[in-house]
Amino acid sequence: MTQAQQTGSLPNVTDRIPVGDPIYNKIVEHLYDEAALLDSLNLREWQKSFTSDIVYQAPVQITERRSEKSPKVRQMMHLFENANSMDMRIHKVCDTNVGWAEEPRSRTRRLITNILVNKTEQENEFSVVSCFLLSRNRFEAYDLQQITGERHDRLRLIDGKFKLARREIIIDMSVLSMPNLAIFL
Amino acid sequence: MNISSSKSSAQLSKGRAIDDLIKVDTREVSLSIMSDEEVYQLELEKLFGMGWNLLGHESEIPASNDYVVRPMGEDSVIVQRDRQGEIHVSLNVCPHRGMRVALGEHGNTAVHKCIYHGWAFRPNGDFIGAPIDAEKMHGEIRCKEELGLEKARVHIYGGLIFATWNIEGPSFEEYLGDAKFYFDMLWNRTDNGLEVLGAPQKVSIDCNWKCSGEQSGGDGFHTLTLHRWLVESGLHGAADDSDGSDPSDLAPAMYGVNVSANGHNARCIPIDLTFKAAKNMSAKDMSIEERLQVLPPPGITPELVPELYKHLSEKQIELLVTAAPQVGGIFPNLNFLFVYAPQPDGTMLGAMAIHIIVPRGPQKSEFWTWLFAEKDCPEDIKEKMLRNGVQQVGTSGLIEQDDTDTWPHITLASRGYKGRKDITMKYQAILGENKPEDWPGGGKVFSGFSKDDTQWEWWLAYRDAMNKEY
Repeated sequence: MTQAQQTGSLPNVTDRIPVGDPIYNKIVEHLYDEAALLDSLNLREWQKSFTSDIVYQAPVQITERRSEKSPKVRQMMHLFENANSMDMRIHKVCDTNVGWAEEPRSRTRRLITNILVNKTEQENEFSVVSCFLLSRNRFEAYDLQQITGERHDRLRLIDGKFKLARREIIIDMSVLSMPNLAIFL
Repeated sequence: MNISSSKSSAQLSKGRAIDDLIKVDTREVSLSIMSDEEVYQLELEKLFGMGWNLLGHESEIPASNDYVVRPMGEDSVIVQRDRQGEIHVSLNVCPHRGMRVALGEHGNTAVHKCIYHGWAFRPNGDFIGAPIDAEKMHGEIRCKEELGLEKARVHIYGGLIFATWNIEGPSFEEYLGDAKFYFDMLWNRTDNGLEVLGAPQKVSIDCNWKCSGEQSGGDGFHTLTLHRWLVESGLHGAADDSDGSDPSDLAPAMYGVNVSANGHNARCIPIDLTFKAAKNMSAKDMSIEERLQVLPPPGITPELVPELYKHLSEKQIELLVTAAPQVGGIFPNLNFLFVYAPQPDGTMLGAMAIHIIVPRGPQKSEFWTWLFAEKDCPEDIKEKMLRNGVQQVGTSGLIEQDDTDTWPHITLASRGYKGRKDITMKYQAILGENKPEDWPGGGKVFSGFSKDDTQWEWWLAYRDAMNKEY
């Protein structure tokens, strides 16, 4: 099983922060706010909510048999971002009128659920694992293009606000159901 | 592949022929070709069956018994390295009752056992036997030798794995023809060649495969407008007095030498602009050796430069540092990029990618992307190239996300009564063959502004391949 297929908690997590705990509630609210910013393409605002050392990636998923070893090849990514490249993406959508993949823009909806929070070895960092359903509709398409998956996040509490330091997105598909990821997951 | 005009054109129903859809005298192609079911079925045979298909790269199956499962048209094949290191391509369909044999997208096994009735096959496709040997469950009408997986003909070119069902047809070298001179400069240029930076990305698009296929024939022109973002991002050198508002700002980069042979093509883009933008130098006054040291070809590190001299001719090396082939394609469905990728920190990376477009029906395709680096370049460069490649091309590629959004519209337009009947795709901007003096390569050479010539050559190759009889 590749690293990409492992689900559940990240390494170096310690105690569960239970549902209903004040920190848990704040984190849920943060995730809802984030989804709202992304769905409304308020990307410059969203950009303020991640750290300057952010790691943001989505590994390609491959169907494998449990009984067989995989060929030794590097891990390919659908997204492989840092703060600089995130800025380029946001610039394309927000500051130009020629980002045709999102001009006109997609109608998206991000449903975030199954949120589980753990403490980590860092006092101000939390491991947050959540599931997402993203739907995307463009032009007059009669159907929604959908992706589901898990987000494995590291949220860092800085001056009372949660900032995204790391997001690894485990997409539940090998072949993606949409022509591109010109949108954030 | 022998490109000659056929005496008779492949027939479709209602008295139509392929030649009716491709108007040679006016350089137009009926839009109906982008959704026609009959044409599609013919393509599966003539192009994806009888043509050479790219399946992957040998670096994807490094160890004995490694395999990947890949498409040839709508046929699934197992691409496997045996214990002697030889690569085999076998139809991933059990000859017993039609079940899929290798279930994963990749794996490693010495024996493929069909999960349905247990028929077992070797990495080369040979039938070993069915369970309960004494009962001889494969029967007696066919011997074991007849009951292996269907075997395709394989050719490895620069590490790239190609296969065809046209067992007696032209060799891959014949298929490339004059394109080989240019492609050797990309895939046969170093001792140990390229390696993949991971498995291919795969996305699904509601479009006819030819939306991408005909792009493999050229189309520098769409860069000006569809990829306008390249200018606005500051990534692409625009004209000096550009204020960013005019498509012709990208026009300097549109001048170069486009070459075409057998439906394959390459855009050879002059190095001067890159030298100016990246190094603030004029390449004109520099020797070949100096140019190689200051700005090696995309993906080549200074340490690898000496290897170029071992594998390429003097003329090829000279071309590499004056107007290297940077984008192009292999007929019918492979697109490649070997481009310079200037980094925000002032350094220069290479971005090397190959796409195939996989047919999944007349109005559905998959778009695949492999990223590459030279095997012998340092690890940190490989990681940088992977990161940069993912950011610029493929699934989330800032450049290529605009392409994939366009193709479904063309396919939809080809469904309408009027669209099918009266709309044609036009390749009427003609530069004409115009070989520069001392041009070292063969094929048809179009030097000047990047017009429709090489894309039209792609359609001519398409027409010839579709009209071929087997």
